Amino acid sequence: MMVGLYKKLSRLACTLVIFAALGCVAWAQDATGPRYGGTMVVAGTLEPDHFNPALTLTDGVRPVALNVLPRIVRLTLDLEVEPFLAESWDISEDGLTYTFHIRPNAVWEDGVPITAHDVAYTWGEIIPEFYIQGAAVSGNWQDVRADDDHTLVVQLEVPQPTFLLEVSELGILPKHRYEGTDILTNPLNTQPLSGGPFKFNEHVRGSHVELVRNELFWDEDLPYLDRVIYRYIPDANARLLALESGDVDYTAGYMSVGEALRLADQHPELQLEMGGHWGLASISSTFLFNLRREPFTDIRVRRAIAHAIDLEFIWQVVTQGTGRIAYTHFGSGNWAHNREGVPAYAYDPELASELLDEAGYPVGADGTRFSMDLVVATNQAEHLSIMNILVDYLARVGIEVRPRPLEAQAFNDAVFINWDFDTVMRGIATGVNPTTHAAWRAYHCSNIKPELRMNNAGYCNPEADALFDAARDAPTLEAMAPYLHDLQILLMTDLPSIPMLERFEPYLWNKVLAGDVLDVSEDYSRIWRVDGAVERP
Amino acid sequence: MDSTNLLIYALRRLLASIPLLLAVIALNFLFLHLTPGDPIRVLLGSSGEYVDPALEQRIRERYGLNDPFLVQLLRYVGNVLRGDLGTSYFYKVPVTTLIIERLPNTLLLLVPSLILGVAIGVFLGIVAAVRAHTSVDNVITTFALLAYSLPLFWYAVLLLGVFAVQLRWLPSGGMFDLRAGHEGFDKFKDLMRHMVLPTFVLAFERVAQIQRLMRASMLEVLRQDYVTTARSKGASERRVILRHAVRNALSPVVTVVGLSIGFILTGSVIAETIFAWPGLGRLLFESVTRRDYPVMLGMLIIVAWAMVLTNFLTDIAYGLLDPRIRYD
Repeated sequence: MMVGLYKKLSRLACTLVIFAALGCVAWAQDATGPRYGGTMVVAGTLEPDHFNPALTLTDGVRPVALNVLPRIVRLTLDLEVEPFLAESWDISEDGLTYTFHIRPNAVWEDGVPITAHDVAYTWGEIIPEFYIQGAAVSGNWQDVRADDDHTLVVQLEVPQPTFLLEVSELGILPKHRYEGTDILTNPLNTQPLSGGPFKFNEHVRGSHVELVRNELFWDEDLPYLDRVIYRYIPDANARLLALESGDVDYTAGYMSVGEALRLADQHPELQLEMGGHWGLASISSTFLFNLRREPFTDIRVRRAIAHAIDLEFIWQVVTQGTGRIAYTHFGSGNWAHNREGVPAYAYDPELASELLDEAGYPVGADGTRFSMDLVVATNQAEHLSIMNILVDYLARVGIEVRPRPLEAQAFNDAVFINWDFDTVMRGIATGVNPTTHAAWRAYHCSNIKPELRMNNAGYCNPEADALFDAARDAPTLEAMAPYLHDLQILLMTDLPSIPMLERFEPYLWNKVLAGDVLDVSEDYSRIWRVDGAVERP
Repeated sequence: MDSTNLLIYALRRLLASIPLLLAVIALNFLFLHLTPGDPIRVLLGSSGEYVDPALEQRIRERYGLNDPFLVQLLRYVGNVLRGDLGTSYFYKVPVTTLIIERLPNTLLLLVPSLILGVAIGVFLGIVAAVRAHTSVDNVITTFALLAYSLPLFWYAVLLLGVFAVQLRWLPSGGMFDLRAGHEGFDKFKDLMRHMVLPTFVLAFERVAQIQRLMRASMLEVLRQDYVTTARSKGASERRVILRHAVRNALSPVVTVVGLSIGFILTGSVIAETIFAWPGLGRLLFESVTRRDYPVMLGMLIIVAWAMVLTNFLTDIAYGLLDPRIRYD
């Protein structure tokens, strides 16, 4: 049953143009065949405080932790689930029991075998108590147990069709080195013990992390590279200059699309690919209303604003045609995305004016109907660009926008904790499972809390809650999909926010790299240097 | 200069600096806690993830952030008086360890750039004053004005573009070529190559300021009677400039160099961020973005202490340059 589900999942994901394009690139490069040895230098921006993916999995932790620690399964670019530590798995007919068969030849760096007990310990004891999202990830796990060294059984309370996708990035920790210690201060959090393709060699604070090939990794052919150096370069310009100069081989995200396009155009040795947030596709720019405040309590005002904005223009200017216009509150890369029958708000300033007149906001003597603030985080270039465009577009229908750019932490305080805003630009991920992840937190009544990334619009519609809940309890993706489709229609009807854009992040690398340079989880084990040796030395 | 008087003067200055440093700690502590943002939320949700509130609460308690402000302040002051600047929320290591780790890297840039900046600035200032109102003076003054007006981040990126990307003569950042992994003397040479651009950028900023000051000071001194006397006695122009004018003209320059230590650290925040140099400036920048209060406070205390120290050394230098100054 589940095999069918994932085939469907893959098929849906594959329809994305981006993945097709990436697939073509990968094939072209694979034609030369893998090479061995050499060093890849990656330019990163966020230096993490630890490398334990069972605590948090930030953009800084992921590329180091997931190359050093084993995972139960891995995802391909088209979201197919592949074996990793688990050679195979069985799913019970009722979808409640997952049995993983752990490969017998996997060992930790210290020679101790990696067993089902390590997974049971990490998932059963560490994740529920210490993982940043806590119960949001493990709440549905009724029991996680090791029947023997090579058999792991996970018992779910209700079917969770997205289970394998959700656990694909949970790193596994060595039980024999964590049990009985203070998990938060265990030295392995900063010097992880390898069970994956690379070993952790050193972390020089403020400078870099160095990974070296793990010779004990179960797949003798991997990794192709001998060494990966992850350099922390906080300045975006300096990161790109390092890539241009050849000091760095690869950098991902955290750069403007315009700069990435310019670099790729000027430097034939550089390869540019635009990647979305993979299967977890996000609405990178959402214009959100504070529904506690006038005049946004009036649906006619919200719809008028939607009609007053030309999303086509914003898309062209801000993403230079590389991203996508968002037509529903779920990202188009998500399996649940479905825009059929979803209300659309075409650019129509006259209709917008009519709706505002009807709502009781006529143009005053000063030429405006009302004024509102628009809060934007200053570290979000895309949102700042949109802010400037919105000031102009909304002025045309008599709405005065007062921009309030705030530093990231001040933004969090104002927008999520104090609810001190009229309107705000924020990104809202859809999540692998929209019924328990970001979309649910942003639009479910139970999440109107002064906490980060929660329902700060104050949107509460029992009908929407019922659709979230019904989808969550559905046994399969097929059964979930109709509820989530109705939910997308309802959200675009109620319009607590206007989804605007889906950004595709630029990935830039020197063509000296080949193989699977792009990977959902930034797994570097299948990347090689074209100037490497034909056989492993 | 009487050494006993100097010692008493030094002790008096040292005692006077204690309440100043305590006030610096208290004010910085207050201002940091008044700024928006929460260190634990930054720590847990740096990539914008949802954070389990129960976990957030546990970690907040672990760092004592639920205690009243005054309790936190008194605890911090007590720890500082015992020589403990606290533990970084982010790195989970003592702040003193982080500062000791990064200080040599910053000094590697700061000392040569200061020496270079002062030497070139003083030299250009002397030349401009001696050739006042000539084309040489105009060229030097225009250069200084330009250097003074340009933002450091702009010409730092520009120089990177020219020397690291176009010409590929110099590396684009960092302290070492990590890919090559040099050892021994090669590693030293590699370090020197990596130091060139950030040192030059920091020195460039100093040159402009020092040159303008030195020129003005020299012009003032060259009008003094004792210079005219020296010339009328038949002293060579070289002797008049070097022996009589320069020494007296240096006093305001020394003041500015002493006071500029804090500004150099500010400049190194930008330079170290652009050149990915793992020094104190970058540590300060990152601790601000992460709301890592112990590191921010520790750094601010170090800067305040450095300012007090350099002011004291500046006063001593006055005495060396001008024998008329007494420490009574």
